[in-house]
Amino acid sequence: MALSIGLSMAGTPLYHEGRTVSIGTERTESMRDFESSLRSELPVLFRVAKRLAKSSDTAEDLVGQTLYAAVKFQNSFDGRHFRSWLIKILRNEFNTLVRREAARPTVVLDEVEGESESFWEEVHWKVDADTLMKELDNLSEEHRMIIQLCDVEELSYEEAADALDVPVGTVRSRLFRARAKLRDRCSSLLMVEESTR
Amino acid sequence: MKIDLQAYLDGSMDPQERLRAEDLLQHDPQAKRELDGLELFVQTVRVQALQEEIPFDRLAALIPQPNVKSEPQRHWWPRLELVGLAACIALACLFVAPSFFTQATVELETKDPVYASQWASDRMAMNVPVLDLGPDAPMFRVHEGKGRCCFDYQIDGKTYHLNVRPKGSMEDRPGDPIVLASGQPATQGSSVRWTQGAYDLSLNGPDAKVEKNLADRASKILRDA
Repeated sequence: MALSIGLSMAGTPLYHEGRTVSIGTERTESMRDFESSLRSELPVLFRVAKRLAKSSDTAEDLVGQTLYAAVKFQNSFDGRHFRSWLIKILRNEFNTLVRREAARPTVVLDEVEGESESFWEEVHWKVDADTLMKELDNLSEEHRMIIQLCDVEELSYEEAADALDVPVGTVRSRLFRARAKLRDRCSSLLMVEESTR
Repeated sequence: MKIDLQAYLDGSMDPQERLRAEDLLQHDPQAKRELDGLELFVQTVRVQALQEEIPFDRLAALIPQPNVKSEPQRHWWPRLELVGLAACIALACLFVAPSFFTQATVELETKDPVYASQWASDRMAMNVPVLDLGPDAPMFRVHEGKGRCCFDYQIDGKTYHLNVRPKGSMEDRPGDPIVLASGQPATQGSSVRWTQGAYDLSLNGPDAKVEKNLADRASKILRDA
């Protein structure tokens, strides 16, 4: 018991195999480690927050709240996926914000038509960046998040599942549907453009 | 046989499935075009989304300073009694397992792999090789403790750890058998692990493909040293 308490008082390095025992004065080292780890995750947190909130100002607020909660509850981190743990906190903060500000809109998972033989072969990426990002923001929250985590931030399926609190299988199927939906939206824009020329 | 293009692109296939998929892609041009289309799509989304401007300084200023106390762990007993009990047991352990208390982590922030190797060699009392993994994988830190040294590298904002230990000191962990670019056999599970020369090595980080790539490089460096 005392030994485990000694360990709990010490720092826990992140992304390391096993644990390093450090006692007493090394607590400062662990605080530095933790802050350094938080700093390195700031770009990811901001991008994910902005994808959720669709606003830079709200994203900054969310990141601030996430950082505060992360420092306060750092002992609850299980030592596995740090980025996923932070994103989980961020999502909780976002959900609290949404509940506070308005009734949560009903989430509708977009229907996707069956995959054609050459589903991905027909991609012609003439869609400009602004349109692509706008269409990404037009997806449902689940689809936006899964593309942001897996395609943009390159989390593994396991890390994304941890961050979203869903099984790995759900991550895979949701990612497939999200990519297909985004592709469909962009493709239909191209068809409209071409038909009006 | 239809390939799960998404699993292939996302690197979530096991090595045998991946080899079968690669073989199929070589002989099926349409499947290859499909894969290229999917890859282009994902890359386009990623590149565009990463153009986002990050107000880093403002965000960094939001990190709470040390006067924000972290939530203490809940204890059943009052704190003073706990500390007293911890001290007694710690003293007892000092006689039973003295090395347990002397293995604190020591770290050095450096971008110089040669200096890092010298520093680690001094601390480990063994010759630790210079593990320069290339300009696209810069080293930024080395730390040593519990009988191993760990070199940290940064790629695309993510950290990868290369642990070096004396041969025979790494515990077994499950993983799929792979072969590194040097021809050295290894396993890949939660990390890439292998033995080469006088060392047991493991490389872990957030992306399995990058892990393997870096392990390939490290293994070649050791082979050619």
